[in-house]
Amino acid sequence: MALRAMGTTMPDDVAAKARAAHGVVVGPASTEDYPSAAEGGINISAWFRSQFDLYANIRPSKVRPGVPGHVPAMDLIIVRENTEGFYADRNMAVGTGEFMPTPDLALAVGKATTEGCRRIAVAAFELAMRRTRHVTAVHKANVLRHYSGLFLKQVDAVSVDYPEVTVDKVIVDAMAAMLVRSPEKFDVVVTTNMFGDILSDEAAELAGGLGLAASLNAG
Amino acid sequence: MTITRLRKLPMARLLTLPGQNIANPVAMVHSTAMLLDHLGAKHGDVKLDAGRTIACGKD
Repeated sequence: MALRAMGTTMPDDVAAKARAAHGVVVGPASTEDYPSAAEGGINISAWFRSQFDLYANIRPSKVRPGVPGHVPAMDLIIVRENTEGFYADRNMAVGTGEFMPTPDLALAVGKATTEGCRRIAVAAFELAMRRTRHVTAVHKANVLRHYSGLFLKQVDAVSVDYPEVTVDKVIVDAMAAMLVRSPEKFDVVVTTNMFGDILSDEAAELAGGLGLAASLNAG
Repeated sequence: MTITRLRKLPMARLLTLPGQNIANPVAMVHSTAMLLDHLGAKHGDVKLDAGRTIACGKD
């Protein structure tokens, strides 16, 4: 509606009100149907995440009595890094992290910083201290040795401050299978942006569907 | 779907929404509860424990 009326999905007055608020509730949006950002189709979720540096995407998935899910038991929270990774629309200060030097060559940059990995690890461990004190770090360090390696290095560094918390490390492809096979084994799952995006949708579907899947973006 | 229309739906009906191309409000209600919990913890404001109340009601 805003796009038709004002030519943008994020009108200036809405942005100003959001900046003045402590928090904002965002309803579901069909961003795939949006035109390009240049034509006013601003991805609202990405806009909030980057404008307010909402680095922690907290996504719980829980099987509830009476709600048909695909697994008998699940009560976990995926802590997804929200501002870096392979997300071309938010991982660069200027320009985009995706480009095509020639019409037949597409490149995408994955970004991991020490501070970005540290602060998402802290968010996960703090959450774990309020739950069952178990963190699972999901990665792909067998292939992305530097990108995932930096993430795991920070998880290890942060874990020193939380000796009560048990830490497991699981490769992302194995995690995708284990979520189906034995989701009850996980509590707090921390990972980088794209892995967290995919796994949290998978977990939500297993628990009953995306329509039941809550999400908090915090900074 | 408008809020007015949602209010007329019995709770059991809400659980049958998936696949009908109808917005399911449960995620947004739960997300709001998470936001209130987060703000309550961040600002030490017990009034924002409303988030927990919403989550309990939904469960």
